[in-house]
Amino acid sequence: MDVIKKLILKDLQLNKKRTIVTIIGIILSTALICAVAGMVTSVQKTLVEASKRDDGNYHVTLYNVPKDELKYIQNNRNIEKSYLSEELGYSYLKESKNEYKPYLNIVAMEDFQNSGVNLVSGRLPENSNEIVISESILSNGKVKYDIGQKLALDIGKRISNGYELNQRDPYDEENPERLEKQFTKEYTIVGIIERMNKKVEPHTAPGYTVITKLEGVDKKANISILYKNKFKYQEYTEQINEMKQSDSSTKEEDIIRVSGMRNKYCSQKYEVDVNTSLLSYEGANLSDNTMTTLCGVAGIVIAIIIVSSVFVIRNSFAISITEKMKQYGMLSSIGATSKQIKKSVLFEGFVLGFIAIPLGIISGVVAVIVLLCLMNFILEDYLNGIKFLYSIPIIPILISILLSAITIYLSCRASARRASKVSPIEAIRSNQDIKIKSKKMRCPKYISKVFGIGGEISYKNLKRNKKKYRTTIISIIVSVVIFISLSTFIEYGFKMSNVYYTELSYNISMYCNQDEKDFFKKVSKLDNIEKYSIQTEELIEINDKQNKYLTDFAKGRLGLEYNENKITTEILSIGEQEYNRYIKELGGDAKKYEKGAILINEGMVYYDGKQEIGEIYNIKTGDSLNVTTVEDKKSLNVDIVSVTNKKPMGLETTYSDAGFLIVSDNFLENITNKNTNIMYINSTDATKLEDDISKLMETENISKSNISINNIEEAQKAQNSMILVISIFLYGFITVITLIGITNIFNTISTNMNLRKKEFAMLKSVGMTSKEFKRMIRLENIFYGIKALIIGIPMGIGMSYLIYKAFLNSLEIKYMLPINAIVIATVFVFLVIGIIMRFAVKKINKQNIIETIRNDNI
Amino acid sequence: MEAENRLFYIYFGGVDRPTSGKVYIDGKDIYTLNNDNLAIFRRRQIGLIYQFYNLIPTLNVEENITLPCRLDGKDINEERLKEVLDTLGLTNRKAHLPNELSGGQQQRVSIGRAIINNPAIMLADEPTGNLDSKASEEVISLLRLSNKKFNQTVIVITHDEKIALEADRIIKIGDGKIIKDERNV
Repeated sequence: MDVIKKLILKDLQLNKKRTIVTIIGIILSTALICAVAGMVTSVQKTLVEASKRDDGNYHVTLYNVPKDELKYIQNNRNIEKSYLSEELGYSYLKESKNEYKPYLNIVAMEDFQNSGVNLVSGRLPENSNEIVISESILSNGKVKYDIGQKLALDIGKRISNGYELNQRDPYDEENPERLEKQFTKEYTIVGIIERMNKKVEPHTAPGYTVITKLEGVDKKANISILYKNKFKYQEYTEQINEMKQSDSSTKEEDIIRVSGMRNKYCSQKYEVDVNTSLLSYEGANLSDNTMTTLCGVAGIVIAIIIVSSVFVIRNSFAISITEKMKQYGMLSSIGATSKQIKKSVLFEGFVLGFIAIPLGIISGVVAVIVLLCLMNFILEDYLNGIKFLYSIPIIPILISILLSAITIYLSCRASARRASKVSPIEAIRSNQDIKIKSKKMRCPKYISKVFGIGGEISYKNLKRNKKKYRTTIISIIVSVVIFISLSTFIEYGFKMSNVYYTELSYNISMYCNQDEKDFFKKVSKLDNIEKYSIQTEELIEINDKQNKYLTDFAKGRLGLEYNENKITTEILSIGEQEYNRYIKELGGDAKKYEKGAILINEGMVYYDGKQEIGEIYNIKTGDSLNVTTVEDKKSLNVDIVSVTNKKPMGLETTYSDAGFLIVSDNFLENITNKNTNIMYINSTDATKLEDDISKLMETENISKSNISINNIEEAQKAQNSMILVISIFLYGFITVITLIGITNIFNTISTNMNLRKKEFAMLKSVGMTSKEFKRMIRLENIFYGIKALIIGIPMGIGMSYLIYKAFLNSLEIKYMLPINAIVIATVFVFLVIGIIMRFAVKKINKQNIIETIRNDNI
Repeated sequence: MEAENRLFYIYFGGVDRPTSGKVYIDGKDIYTLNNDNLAIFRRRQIGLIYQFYNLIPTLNVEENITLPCRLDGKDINEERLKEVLDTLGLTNRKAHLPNELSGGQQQRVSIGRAIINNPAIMLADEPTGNLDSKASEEVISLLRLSNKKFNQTVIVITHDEKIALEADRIIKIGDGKIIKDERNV
């Protein structure tokens, strides 16, 4: 091998520490890029697979295509796959306990797997006599069918006012419909499936889904299409469906808009529906925010990593060149051409890259796998069976290899040029390192006064190698700023979760769409209930003939207006138990208050990003208002017994633009028949209570679609877990960036110490004691740290203020200096620098003074 | 490095410890002192001059010369400094950095550093090895001046016979042993 190459390899072996540190720097940066890219692709894959599973593996669906036209679409060259389905019709489900879902909707499908059909038990149908039924028939409709059972169904169309209705038309008692029977068929149930996605069975759909196998199209069918090139789906669809774009001549009512298609159309051949979720996750329909945000964040992150790695790698090579200046000078003096020297530097880069990059890629891949397993573990309970999948990001890996290689190459080239320009004698004398002007070496008097000569030397040392120190100081600054910003971000994230949830005085809430007063009363007798509130609400109009009640705040900020001298507001009753507690809190007398209403007079609005709170009405205690109920148009006078901004249970975080009137149960019952349909509970064991309520609902035969139970505790736990995962990511990211920074610092400082061996030895020989020497080093350490922190901390504070402003929309908090983060960052910076310096100096301390001074001679 | 030079530093410099034996300077057995006290002793009583100057590159001439005093934490004796600068001919260069000086001037600075504290002994290790003949002559005459004016003992290591002949007493060392020790008149 070339002698110079041999020399380089030998040198790398001898200076193991420096070599390893440089390699670690390259590994870290490569791994980081790889890991970030890997996470993005993995999350994308997970979302895509989840979408395929739930919604189906297709891009668009065309509805009601006549049988003879189907083959033109199926044979279209742009189509990869297509699946046919046919809506056979509806059949009565007489035993259904859900009055809004009285039907079975029978659908025939060609391909189950790609249509979002997920089996719970049994098997899929193999012919058109077998069916699978939705599990919601039992859980929601309370009708039990077994596998193996035979059902004879009268299947027909839903007709109302001459129109045929489908799953997107809910069952409405006020819109009478009838079932026009078409045929009868007997089916055997072979399996039970999960409730279908919202496209097949929308939330308000009147029929439970029953699926059979499509064996032959009758007259028309729906065809779901998977295109070969998903990015061109709009173009293909416009072509297949003969969709003509609308122009200025098209009348407003004739314009066709399709969600997922970018244009407006004036005509199309068939009704079309786009599977926007799959297309968004696959990146073909970027109107979805998730994808864009994800890419944006990944972009910023990768930019940070690239910048840091460029610093590290550049610095490493620059340092290694400086250390070997003598060697290059020597090589040059014995006849090596500058080209040969340049090549040797590039060779060194190649060797280090060759070792480090593959290791970096492997580390990155492993890191992603570990992170995904961690995420699956922590978020297990909240993901509803979704597991994060891993996808090896081939393209990102190739890109990161390329990036690292390019960075190394560019760093080497600059250093190579420098090395080749070295004049032999100068290099050996190693004088050229110092190109300082005496002006720059001026040192503030106080430093020499306070710290002595040692301090002066340390201070000046910082000034002499400005460029080299600059990169190191910058990398410290970057780490500090990122750390402070991200800590703030995480802190506010947790706060947002806590503030909202802990401000609530309840942890379970129930909403229903009909009157459930009796049920609520039964619930209130269950265990684990600390306090509860049962609410009934009605709208009323306050008659304000003189237009005097609304304040300027209400008119200006809240935008309230008189509607024929009337203001619409809400009146509610909150349940006897809560009402008594509430009155006590206001310091009122039950007997007096029961005759009138309590006015909650506080309104809130976000104006210019800031939250503003003010009074809505110019109404005082003792005033009497003339009001009319909106529903029954009953008119009465209401005495205001108290005006307050304190809110009862359940309303603490709500602001109504027009305030509230709180009255006793009796009062409200006397003026309206409105439904009692909200209940708030503060429970000592929310999970158990939720369970008990569900059981109670079953015994009382109340359908789950009528009452929704919200377990706030669970929601908060889920959110906290999510934040925990995000924190792990962010802190993990900071750690790696910091490690990269530390690598940098280590390299710079240890080299610098090494180069000053002679100086140190001389100082000792002139008579500096060990203690004074250590002090000098410590001072340099402090100066170093201070310089970096003086810039880093204000920048970090600035960033954290920006983050605070971003959160201001959702949080009502004062800005707090991120003191914790600043302290941790400061301590850490000094610690790291101190350890590295002490480590480097120990080596020097051990050496023999005279040997050192007389060494390095030619 | 050569055994002879090492001995030199051990005996007279207190910079390195001998494996056996004792060294007395000014009536004191210097190797009974601990490292810190040895350092302080060095700072006040011994002036070292090396072949390769070894100045601190970030300090100017004045600061490099007064290094030993400042290590002591003492105030600089301005008169003494002026005297040294004058003697060395560095007065109009006193604010310059080492990289702005010629080889001869740098060596003179290191001599200044060695004499500023009025040490008992001055050790010079091949002081002219790096200089041209004119500068060499200047340096040697400075050393003699120091010896006469400030009453210092000056010990010079050299391979240059010519320089050796300028001395009052010549000790010849070979193969780790003293070969000759004679007065030079």
